[in-house]
Amino acid sequence: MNALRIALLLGTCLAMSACGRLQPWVKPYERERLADRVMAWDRDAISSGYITHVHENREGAHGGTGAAGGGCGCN
Amino acid sequence: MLRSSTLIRSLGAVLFALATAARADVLPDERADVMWKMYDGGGLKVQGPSTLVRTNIADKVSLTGSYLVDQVTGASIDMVVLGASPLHEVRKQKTFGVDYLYGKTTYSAGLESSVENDYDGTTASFSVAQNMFGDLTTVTLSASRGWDIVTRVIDAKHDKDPNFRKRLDRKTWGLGLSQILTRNLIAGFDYEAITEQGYLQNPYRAIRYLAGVGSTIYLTGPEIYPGTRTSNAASVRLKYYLPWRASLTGKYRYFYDTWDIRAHTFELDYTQPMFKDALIADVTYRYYKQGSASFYSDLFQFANQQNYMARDKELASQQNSTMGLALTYDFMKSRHWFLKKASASLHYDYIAYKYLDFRDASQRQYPAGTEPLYRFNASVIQTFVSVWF
Repeated sequence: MNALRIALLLGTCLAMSACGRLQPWVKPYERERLADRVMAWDRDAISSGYITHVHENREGAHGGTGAAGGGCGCN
Repeated sequence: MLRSSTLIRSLGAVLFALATAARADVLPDERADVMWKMYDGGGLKVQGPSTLVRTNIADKVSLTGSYLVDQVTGASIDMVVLGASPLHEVRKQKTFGVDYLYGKTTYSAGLESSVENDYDGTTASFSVAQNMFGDLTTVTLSASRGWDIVTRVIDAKHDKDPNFRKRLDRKTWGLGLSQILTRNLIAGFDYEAITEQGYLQNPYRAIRYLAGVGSTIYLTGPEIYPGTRTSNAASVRLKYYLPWRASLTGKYRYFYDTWDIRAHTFELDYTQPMFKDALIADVTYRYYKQGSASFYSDLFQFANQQNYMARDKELASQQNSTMGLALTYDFMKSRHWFLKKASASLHYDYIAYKYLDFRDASQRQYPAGTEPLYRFNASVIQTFVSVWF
């Protein structure tokens, strides 16, 4: 039992020390490609909102996409 | 009546999307879009204009406003089966949102209103987005509340049933995470929980049941839905920068709710700039599959067979595939007057819907329950002009 406690303690210490050393690994000057407009999650909000709404109004599932739109036209 | 259950629950998401469109320590671009859009499929045509404007104040506050009109004409399969008159309806939607940037935190609030002849919806939303970990990580928490009023039109002049007025309340909670993984790869995770309480069905739709034991014809009766629904949706997405300056995006979403609907959504997007960046092409493929709700049936054996009964094809087992192509042309790339740039876009999506336990009951030459399974195709066109200022 003691061995288990010691192992848990050591494991926790190791995990915490790892967290302490964790640094942002992509520097700001390395984000040129990520800033390119081809990498935008949602380039045109007016369009993504509309097509999401087209789908959601004809499907049982909805939400959880981080973007959506209003409207209907279903029945 | 358009549809009650999915109308307003998606409205709050517009504000959520607007609020989370930007990273948490930079306000989004000031921009205006004017669009004409059209959906044509399954006997219905929905078209009309849409506009979205965003402007910033002193690099701290961003205001958004949008206005959308849906003109609905035609008759869906449900209306054909019930012998209802074709639709000629208009829906108008307005939104207003504000984002406030404080350090690495963005606070967002919004209001949305949707009005049609038999359905009014109002949604209020709030979110907080925090940029952290050397700007590699953005965490967003969101909540919204919706209040809907459902009424019923009883004749072609759009007169309402004075004795029919129902409420539907909705609450949503969301958690979002955007993470830079490498200099070429970003990831996103979103979770949303939605609770709904009130009138969740469509007052015009009906179930069908056999006229008697061994009968080959059917009768119709009212749908009966539960008064509550709780839904959960979780999604992951990855976007990768390709060596030849293009991007590839993969998305997956899992959905389940207390009506026993389980759904999977897969999507792949490819983005390619062309002609010295003057034109951007997006190609999209999306696949969706869901199981039916526990109280759904295409054909009940007799009236009052269950406590809850539905024949909404949205609750049926179904799958659909979407193929999309979008082209964006930058026709003004340098500053003119007060405009920074401008572009024109054309999007086309083709959607093939296929139902696995919803039959085409309009084909009355078949005995009830043996009609062909229903399927249809739809086209979605969006054309819009965007200006940055």
